[in-house]
Amino acid sequence: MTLASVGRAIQDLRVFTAVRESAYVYPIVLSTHVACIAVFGGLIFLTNLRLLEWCLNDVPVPEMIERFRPWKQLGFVVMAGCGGLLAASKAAEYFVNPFFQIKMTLLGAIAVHGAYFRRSVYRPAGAAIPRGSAIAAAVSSLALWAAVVSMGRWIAYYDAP
Amino acid sequence: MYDPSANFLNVHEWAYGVTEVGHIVSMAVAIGLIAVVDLRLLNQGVVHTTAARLLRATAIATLIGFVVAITTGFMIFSTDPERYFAHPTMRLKLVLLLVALGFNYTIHGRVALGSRSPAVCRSVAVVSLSLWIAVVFSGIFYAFT
Repeated sequence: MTLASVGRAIQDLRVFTAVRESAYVYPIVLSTHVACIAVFGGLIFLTNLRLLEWCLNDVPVPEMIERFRPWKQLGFVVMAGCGGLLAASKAAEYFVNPFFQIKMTLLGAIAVHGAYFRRSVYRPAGAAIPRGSAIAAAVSSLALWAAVVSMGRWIAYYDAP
Repeated sequence: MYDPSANFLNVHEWAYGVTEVGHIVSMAVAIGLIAVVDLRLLNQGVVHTTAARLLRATAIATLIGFVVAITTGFMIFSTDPERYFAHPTMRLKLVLLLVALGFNYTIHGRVALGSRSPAVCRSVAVVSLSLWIAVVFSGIFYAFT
């Protein structure tokens, strides 16, 4: 059983076939995916600017993180839901696409990033956040998310051999 | 006479991809930061600070995002200007973009900086978010219509 055959089995499910073949559903799901990147990406971007102390330095970091969290979660659920629908409807191509594989690996790295900095940076109000940890968390978050968006675009440029 | 086949982005496929990624990332920065202000106008997000303060804190980064997004947008446009300009969905996108930019730098800015009633703030936030989401949708739909 290869990745391509698993992908084929998934994309042949009725719902994913319908998404792929629909003239409107596919672009609507893709547009929603990209619109979420735009609308909710700002929350991640601003949090990182704040961690770097480039703006809003009088707003406590834990306050910003707590206030943005439910909106980030909502954005992520819609974005990942749409992304999953797009990937599943073309799973046979996507699963063997190296850019898709890199994108999924990067998303895994983002989960590790969140867990790694949970205690030092992304925590409720308390002792001051170590400056070094804040900078490391912000720079790596910006790099990881920019890489995820880039790989997302690059998926479409890959021609299977 | 302008010959698109000699355009750098048409000659080098990687350059076209890099330009598109730059377009998407800068668009996300600009729209995302406006959305943070909109969220505040809806009385959500960082309510610890005012919408005016948020707008001032993000204005430069938003502007840089717009400049890069529009520059890369024109670069992509230049790869096939006749097709882009003749396409109804692209025309719709350009009109929506002009309306959204105009709204952002007039009414949206004024309401965020002033002290208006919650109803006015909410309406402006909803219009702003709707306009930017419509710009993104028309950009994607262009490729499918």
